[in-house]
Amino acid sequence: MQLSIGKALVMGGAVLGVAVAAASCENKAEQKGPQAASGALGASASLKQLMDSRGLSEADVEAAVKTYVPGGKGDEYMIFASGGHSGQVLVIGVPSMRLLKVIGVFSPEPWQGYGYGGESDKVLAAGAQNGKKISWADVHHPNLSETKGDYDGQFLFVNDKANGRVAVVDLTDFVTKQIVPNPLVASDHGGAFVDPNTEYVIETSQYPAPLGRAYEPLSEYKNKYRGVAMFWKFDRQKGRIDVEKSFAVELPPYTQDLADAGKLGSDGWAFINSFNTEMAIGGTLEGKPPIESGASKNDMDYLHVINWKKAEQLVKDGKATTIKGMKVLPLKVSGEEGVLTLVGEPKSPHGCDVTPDGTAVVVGGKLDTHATVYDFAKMKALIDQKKFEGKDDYGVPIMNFKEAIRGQVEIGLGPLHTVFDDKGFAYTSVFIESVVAKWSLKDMKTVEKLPVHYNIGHIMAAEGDTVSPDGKYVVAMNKMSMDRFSKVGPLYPQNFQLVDTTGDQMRILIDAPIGIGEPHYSQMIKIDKLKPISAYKPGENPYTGHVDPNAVLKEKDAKIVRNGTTVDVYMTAIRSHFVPDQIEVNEGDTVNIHLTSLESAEDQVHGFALNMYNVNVSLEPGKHENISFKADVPGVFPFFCTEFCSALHLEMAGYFLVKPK
Amino acid sequence: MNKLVSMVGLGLVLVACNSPQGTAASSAAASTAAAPSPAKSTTPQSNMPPLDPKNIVSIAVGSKDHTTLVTALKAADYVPSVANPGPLTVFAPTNAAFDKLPAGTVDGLLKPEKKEDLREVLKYHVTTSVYEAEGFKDGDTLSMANGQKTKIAVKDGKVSINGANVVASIRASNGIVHVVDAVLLPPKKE
Repeated sequence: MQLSIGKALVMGGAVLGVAVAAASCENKAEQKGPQAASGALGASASLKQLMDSRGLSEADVEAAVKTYVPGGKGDEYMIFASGGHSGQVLVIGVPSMRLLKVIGVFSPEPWQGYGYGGESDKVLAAGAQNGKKISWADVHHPNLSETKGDYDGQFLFVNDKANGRVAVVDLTDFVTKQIVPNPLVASDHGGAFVDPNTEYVIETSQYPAPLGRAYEPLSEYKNKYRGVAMFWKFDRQKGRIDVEKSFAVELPPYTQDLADAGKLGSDGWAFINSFNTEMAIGGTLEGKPPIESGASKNDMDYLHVINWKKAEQLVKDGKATTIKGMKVLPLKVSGEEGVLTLVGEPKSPHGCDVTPDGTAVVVGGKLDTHATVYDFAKMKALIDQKKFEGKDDYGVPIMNFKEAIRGQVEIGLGPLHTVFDDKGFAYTSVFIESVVAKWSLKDMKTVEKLPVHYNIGHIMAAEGDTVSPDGKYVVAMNKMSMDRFSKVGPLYPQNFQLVDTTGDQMRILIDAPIGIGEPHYSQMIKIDKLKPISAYKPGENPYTGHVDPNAVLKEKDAKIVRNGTTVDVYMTAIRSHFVPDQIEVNEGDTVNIHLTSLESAEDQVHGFALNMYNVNVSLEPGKHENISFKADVPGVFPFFCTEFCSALHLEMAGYFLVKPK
Repeated sequence: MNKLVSMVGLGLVLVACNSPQGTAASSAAASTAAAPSPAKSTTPQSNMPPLDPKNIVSIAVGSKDHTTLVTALKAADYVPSVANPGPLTVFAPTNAAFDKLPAGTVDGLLKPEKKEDLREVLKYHVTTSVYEAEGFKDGDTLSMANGQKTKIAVKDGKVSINGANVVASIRASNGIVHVVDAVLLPPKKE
């Protein structure tokens, strides 16, 4: 009854009525089939019947059992995944792969009332670039805060590649507290990576441009266009990035890509790759090669090795210049002082991942067939001894490739990113071959390839970029899903495949369609490291962490205070009414609604929506919100609770009246 | 070139190989005695993507001049690699090109025990990115999928790679196919 792939394709072609040339072959050497059924499940007769009727194999059932989480039981791990263009972050449970939450980060999120008239408007407004409000992002790399190189479950940092911004999410309430716009660059990529104690959040630029976003013609590309590595100082006490204490390291216009921070022995260093040392700028209309081919000419691009501890000291010593209010360590200083050193990396590299022991950096050559393992001790010795094979046009010293590497591992066509387990294995995503390659760090040999569906971008392992990976799961973040799910029009969901890495062979457990944005990267943390709250302190403003001065802690303190054309409404919400529930103002008045939820019980949430004024806030237990707007449209506007809070939820409403002039 | 494309458009052409899963399933079924056994897996473990008619593989399969290449791709289990989105540039030797090899070479490479060698040869015909014939310059080098390099020559507007002439070029949905009149043999690795 089992269809071979070939037959399935014929059927597909016939149904479509399209002339199809189909070929199907199994990759016997590299692609391991499903584990042979052992019959060990001892399935009952009715289960066997069910399996037959649904066409499920024992391997399928085993995978289902491994991922099924019964109601009432939580997951073992939590994934924080970028929501891509949605500007949000997705929270997914493992092994169930159930979506638990979508956190509003760079884009407004109505359910959480994020960006709809309340305090969160200030967070989003702070993310403006060039004075322009930006309501989307291309969220790339979520990174969890670390203590001694291990996830501590306190904060999450994400970058917006599209607009060069970094955000801080507090994991006590899973709310975005800060968006910091990079004043120097127009796009970033290598962020938001942290050093082992989260002293800094690292954000490196992507497409070179004049720093500070000034105008310079493309003919000045080599002279005036630059990249940067931003080191955003993180104040853990305040839970915010301290822009004043942050600095940037100016980089050559080589189109820096991914970055990672050193750990253990390599702590204090950062590594960034680059893919356009050719400095190709396109010009397709004039018959010049597109950047795609222009940037693929050189056999080697450059891995950037940055001594950020030294950079920090030089900035303190006053060696930085200031651009758009940001301290920038000039390229010349970095080259001379040993802050920045380059070493060749084969062919348009992509991933850049420090091993758990901190002794090596693994780089995947996107147009190469190898993963290159750079040895930190060797590079450090070359830098200390100033043993270089030359300098680039910007005076930055270059190490000899062969002297800097531990070796190269034959991976396959299109290796990208590498993650690690607890048994000395590395897992590299291979885009073009559409496989996960498992290889031994000790033997530097590929031991297994797992076909994934289809065309994996990032790969992620359970706590896989910490000093102590868990080694239980790998997630293949596939860029294409093609025939994996029911069709939803020409824009397909991406496919996260959860892979069990505990056995001798890797095994795909479940496909999870991601129907939001273009998820890019993610990290997976053990659930017990997270300590989220279930309610705020009574009257707490989540953006200050304190009881708000305008909080209304008792219903009897609710009031309306008019002062000229300003109306302050001190308001409470509790099942199932607002006090006050009738508010009348004059057209043109400035209205400030100070709204406190008097609820304290778990999961008793209200919302407050004001019709036609684009106001909608979420009121989790204890939370205080401050809403401000101008009553510029006269009329009668009901307001109501937007969260189904109780049996009398619909009755939780009131009237806002604006008397015309 | 048009001829090749029209071949693809003609009708349903099918290449199917023995699936290891099918083999495992049937042998397992044979050894299971009584009750009807469920299929061993409904989750295809191959990463063979669905093919559209302009896929590199579809183009090769649809060409009567490339039957040897298709046989070789199957024998080396290299079909999914050239079927996926890439983009890839594939240099596709014709049957005549394979015939030019010393007698017995092709048959030797097609033997199961020579699969790795065959795969190396095929990988030497594949590289990433789309390289249009007009974009090549005399002396260009290309890094091929097996990790070794090829050299491009352009003389009087005619492109050759390691001495093999590019006789036609077909834009595919996942890259480009350059039909060549000789097989590219990878140099011995050090």
